Amino acid sequence: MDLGPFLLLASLEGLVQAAVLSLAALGLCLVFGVLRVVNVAHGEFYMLGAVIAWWISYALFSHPLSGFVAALIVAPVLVGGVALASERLVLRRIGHNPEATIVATIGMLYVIQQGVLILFGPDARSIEPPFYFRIDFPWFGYSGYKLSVILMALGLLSVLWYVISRTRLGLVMRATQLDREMAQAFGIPVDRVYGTVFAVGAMLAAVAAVLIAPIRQVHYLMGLDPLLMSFIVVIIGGLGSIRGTLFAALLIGMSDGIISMFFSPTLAKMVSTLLVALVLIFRPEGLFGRREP
Amino acid sequence: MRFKVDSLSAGYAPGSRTVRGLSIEITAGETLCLLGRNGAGKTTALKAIMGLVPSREGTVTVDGEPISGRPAHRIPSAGIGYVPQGRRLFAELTVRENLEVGAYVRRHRRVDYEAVFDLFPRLKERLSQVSGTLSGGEQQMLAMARALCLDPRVLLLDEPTEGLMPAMVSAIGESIRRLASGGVSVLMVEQRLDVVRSTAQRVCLMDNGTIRKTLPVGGLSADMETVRRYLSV
Repeated sequence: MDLGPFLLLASLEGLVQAAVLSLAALGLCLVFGVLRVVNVAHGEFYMLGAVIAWWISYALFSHPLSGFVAALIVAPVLVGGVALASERLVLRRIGHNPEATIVATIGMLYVIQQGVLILFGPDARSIEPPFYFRIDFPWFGYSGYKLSVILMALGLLSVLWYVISRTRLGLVMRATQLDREMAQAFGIPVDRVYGTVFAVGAMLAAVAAVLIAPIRQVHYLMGLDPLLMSFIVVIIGGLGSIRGTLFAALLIGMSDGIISMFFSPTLAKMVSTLLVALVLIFRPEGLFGRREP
Repeated sequence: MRFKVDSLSAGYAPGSRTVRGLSIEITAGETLCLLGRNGAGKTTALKAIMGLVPSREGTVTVDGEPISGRPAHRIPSAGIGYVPQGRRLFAELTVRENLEVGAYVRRHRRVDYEAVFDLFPRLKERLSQVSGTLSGGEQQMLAMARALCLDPRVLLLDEPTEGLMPAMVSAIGESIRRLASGGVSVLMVEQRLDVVRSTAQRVCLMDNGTIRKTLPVGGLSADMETVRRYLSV
């Protein structure tokens, strides 16, 4: 294959990566922005979403498409429920203290991971894509499902954008993020906002996993990579900045996809990590972050 | 009595009492001003009423409805609007969004924004402007307008004229008078005596977390000696 078509193929792979990454990273970004805590268990919510998707499509539905649609609805809802419960039972009791939350979510990471290991087993399993069709470019054919992942992620991101910028819930979230005390002084139940945002963050990770599960395999350790990548994206974009997160997800997703294909996945990870180091040295508040006054 | 604070004690650290045994009564349409030097506990008193600083003892009632002991987010729905020191706008939100947050507790009822714009017409022209980019005077207007959106019976104002130009100071004073004449009870912390004279009916001199003396505003000039003692550092 010539360089041009090869670059196109690599860019498409990168776009798929970026689409899924932006959803997962936005979840982490929202939780950090509003609650001011780092959720180390974020990757496990992602893994849980994929495992639930596998279970639904394998156990409940014979047709891959109906299984996929069901998983797209049920997995985020269940994962959101788990997140809501863990916020109520753990994070609220430690008062969302930033350091204590890191330790507590490390604990949650192991509980979820080992729980899934016991129930789901150590094997990697695959999910059939909901539909097969190839889009034929002159030089190569490309999976229609992968392209639809990009479109679905774009759709979800627009819904999320609409909710955050145009609805009451979004306004309440932004007000809480900007000044928690004043939000309370105007009657906003900040504790309930925290629970909701934590659940929404986990649901975004779960949705991302449902989309990617038919392309990758489902495994109880699959949460580590998206956790690391989401952190990279959120740090480069600027902690708590939605625009920055989207931009960084595109940057990291594309560079990861392209470098993986031209050179090696290991080099891609090295470049991403190097970028984080450079951002931390030269612009510690992130590309779109605001310097603390 | 519209608004009653009865021997309220409050403080940030566990066991501390920045405010001790504070008692205030304000009738509908009355404006009362807390005067005192820095650290006297004026701001803490307002925050304690809003539930933002934990109160140790005492009660706060609005039209007989007790509000002390509630979680902070359930206090404004009793009809208390709060304009904090330094305005504390949601700086990245637009003027409109700030007002919508102000109206949060009235979300199931119609909100009369027009009445608010009637008082602060300049805000109406700037609805979609990001509030952090407003001028200082406009920001103060917005902070007051935000509190008015919940249709308060009681308004707590913490240094509403701090850092404003003279023309803006008198405009803010005028709006406080108009609100009070509409029946709102105002509890105000203010350092500028000219504003106090033109808006308040009574003045409480505060020192070391408690009220030492209450005067009618007309007595301010006659008792300048006492006032100076409580204000000078």
